Amino acid sequence: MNHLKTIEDLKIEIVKLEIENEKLRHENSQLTEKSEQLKALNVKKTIEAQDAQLIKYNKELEQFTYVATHDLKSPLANIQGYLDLLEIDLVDPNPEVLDSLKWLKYSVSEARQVIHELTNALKARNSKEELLKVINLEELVESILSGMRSTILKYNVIFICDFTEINEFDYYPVALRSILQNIISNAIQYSSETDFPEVKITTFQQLQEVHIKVQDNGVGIDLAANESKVFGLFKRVNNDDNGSGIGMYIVNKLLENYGGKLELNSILGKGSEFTVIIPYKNNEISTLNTTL
Amino acid sequence: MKSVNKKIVLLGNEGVGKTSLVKQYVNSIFSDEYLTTIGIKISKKTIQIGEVAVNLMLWDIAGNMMNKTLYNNYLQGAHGILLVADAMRYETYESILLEKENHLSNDFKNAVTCVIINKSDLIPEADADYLKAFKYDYLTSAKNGDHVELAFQSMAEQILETSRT
Repeated sequence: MNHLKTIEDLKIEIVKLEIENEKLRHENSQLTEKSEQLKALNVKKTIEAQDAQLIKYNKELEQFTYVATHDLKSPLANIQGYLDLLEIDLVDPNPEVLDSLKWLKYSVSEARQVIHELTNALKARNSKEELLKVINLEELVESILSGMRSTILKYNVIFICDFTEINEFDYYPVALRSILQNIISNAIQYSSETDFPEVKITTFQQLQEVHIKVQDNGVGIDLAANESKVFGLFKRVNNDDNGSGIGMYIVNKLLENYGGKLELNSILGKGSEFTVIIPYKNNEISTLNTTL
Repeated sequence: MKSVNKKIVLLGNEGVGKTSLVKQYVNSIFSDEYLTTIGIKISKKTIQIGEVAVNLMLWDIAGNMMNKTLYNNYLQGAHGILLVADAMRYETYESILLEKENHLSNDFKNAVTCVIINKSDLIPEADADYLKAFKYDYLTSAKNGDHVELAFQSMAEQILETSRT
């Protein structure tokens, strides 16, 4: 009898325990839920704080760019004015002086144009589509090379430009100028160490992409040893002392931001080949080719 | 339809108008703004000669490159050479004549060579004897397009003719 009673008690105890267990489970689930909510709240707060910080940085950067571009306008206008006066005042100048004066005026005018484009880019920063323009690559590269003319002549670099496959396409002029300027500047720097420096710039279209290839016969890069350094900020390859290590980082960031990618092939001692690949957005194929 | 590629090289001193001739021929444009060509610019124009589509690859070589060591490399494979001089600067004419006699006639004797006197729009109308000192194949003006098409077209025809014989 006592034995049976014990079993009954145990049964009751089990039921009680099950109820208790269920309660605990429920409380546990509630606690987990609350914990998740708290975690989410913390993440949200962190993100909000980071967002606020980014907005602050962006505003500061924007302000800096405005101030920098604005403050550069007047000295450049001044230089241009004085160059005009100098040209008028020159009495019987020799052709070399006139040539230097012409290039000085050209460079100032290009600098003013870049500032103008930068200012427009800032104004249209919320709408990337507004910045999308038809690029005439021949004109853009001509302008970039003309800006670097004295360096090109100093190092005797021969440029070969062939845009017969594709010359016009839609992209962001300010970004592409900076991208190509950095790559070309690199090509000049590294090919100038060879006896007969040569840089080839060519284009071709592949499916929905435009490929702009800049090929030099310079010192090349040991990619196996330096791959991580090539696009890193403040990182320089080949242990060279030239350059700041910013150029290729900027190129990569611009392509990430505006759409596109950069491919690099290089052989140490033979030269490098940088290919800028950007989406082809133009509906009509426009090249330097005209068919009668 | 048969299609062939032909390389035409433009040579001449700085500022004679080689780039302007190419721009006028390929894009029908002219700009008064003068920028010295840096290195070599390659343009392309396809024309029809009889049954043949001729892709003219026009190599515009910077005037300052004529004295460079590797200059010959860029002339390799040229089917035609257009030697351009400025009608207002006789020394540019003398320079291309020297280039033709001392260099091209030996190293590139198989290429069709023509002399162009450019900037005909600047020649004083009253001076009838002005051009007597020049011996040339074409008198052109990249500015107003005079005889530009004719010069390139004739050169292409001569190149095709030469390759047939």
